[in-house]
Amino acid sequence: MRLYNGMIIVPGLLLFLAVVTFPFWIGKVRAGEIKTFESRPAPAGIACVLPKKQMREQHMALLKQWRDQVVREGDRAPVKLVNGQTMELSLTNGCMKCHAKEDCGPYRAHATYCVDCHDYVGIRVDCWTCHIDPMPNMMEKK
Amino acid sequence: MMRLDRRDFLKCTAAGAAGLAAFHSVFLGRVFGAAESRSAAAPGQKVKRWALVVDLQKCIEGKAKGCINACHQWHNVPEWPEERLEVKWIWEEKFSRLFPDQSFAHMPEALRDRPVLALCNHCANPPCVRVCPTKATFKRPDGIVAMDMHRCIGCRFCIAACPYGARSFNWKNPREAENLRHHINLEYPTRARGVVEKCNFCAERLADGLQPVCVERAEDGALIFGDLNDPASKAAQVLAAGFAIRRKPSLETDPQVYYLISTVR
Repeated sequence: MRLYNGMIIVPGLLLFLAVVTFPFWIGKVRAGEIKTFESRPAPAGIACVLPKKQMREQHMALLKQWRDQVVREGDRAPVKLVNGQTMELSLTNGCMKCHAKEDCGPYRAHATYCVDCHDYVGIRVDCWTCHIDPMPNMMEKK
Repeated sequence: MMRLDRRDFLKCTAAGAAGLAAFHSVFLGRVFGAAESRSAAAPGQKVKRWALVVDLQKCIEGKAKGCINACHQWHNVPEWPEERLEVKWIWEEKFSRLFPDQSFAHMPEALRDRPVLALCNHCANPPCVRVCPTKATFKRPDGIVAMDMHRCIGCRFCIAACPYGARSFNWKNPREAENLRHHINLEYPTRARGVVEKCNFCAERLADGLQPVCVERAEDGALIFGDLNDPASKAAQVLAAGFAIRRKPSLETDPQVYYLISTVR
């Protein structure tokens, strides 16, 4: 068997493989440049509804469940926190009571606590087009 | 291989269909039944039927403005200078326009042109709910016709269906309205551009045991809010002892906002 035009085909194949596998090796090559996400400190001394790991993984499902419970079923029964306290089922007047506090870090944009992480993973949430982000300047306006 | 003749094939099909139907009613029926009972009232608690009575003797021109402003401020309703952009939950309208069936040429002009308070009627048979393609607007067991803004796609079928003009569309981002840029109520969300909104009978306040904003603001009991399924409620008593009318009852939407004309002695 003879390979004709090997001078073109072999480098061409190599180039093709390099391009196709680009997503797999670029991460390794640029590992040093990519910043890992540093989560904001949790609001000090306050318990959430579920342990941290579960909140990270399941908060979106939980929020949707609460949304349907409050809006469609009219069930606004306060939810129990890990430490036994209760919280109003409300994004602005429940969750954000803790997560918009100063010790969650300096404010950069709307609802920084949520936006930071969602920006990092490339998820656009539209909660804040209607729900009010209790930014400090919003508070003052009241 | 066994050959099915036409007769046996039909028998098998019928048996299969009967089996499926039995499975559906026994198994699935239970599942859906459970989902339904979740939204009904707790055992021992009677289902409510919220209604509002507007006392036409007391709710007179000038006083209603306070109620309107209080409601719109509480619910972050945007105010636009252009009438075509108007968003309203509760507003004033001439008697003759609210009650075309009760108006005639020889009636007192003062009554015909008198501004009367209008809002969503929270119909027992709401046409807006029937036409909504996403079930964004729905009737709660307590009679409130509610909106789920998360589901509204802004098709405006409900606006076309409502015979009372109680619904408004957000043509612009409400947060850009002058009044909301200066003052926003943190207790209640705003809406987004492209959704329909209307009065919600202050469902969020009722949950806390409060009265609707307009009722709280109204002077000397001009607005009476209550549960018509409870004969001891003020609203039920007022209706039982007086003559009240409703807007366009002939459309059979069964409105739950009553306009009290007089008390029968």
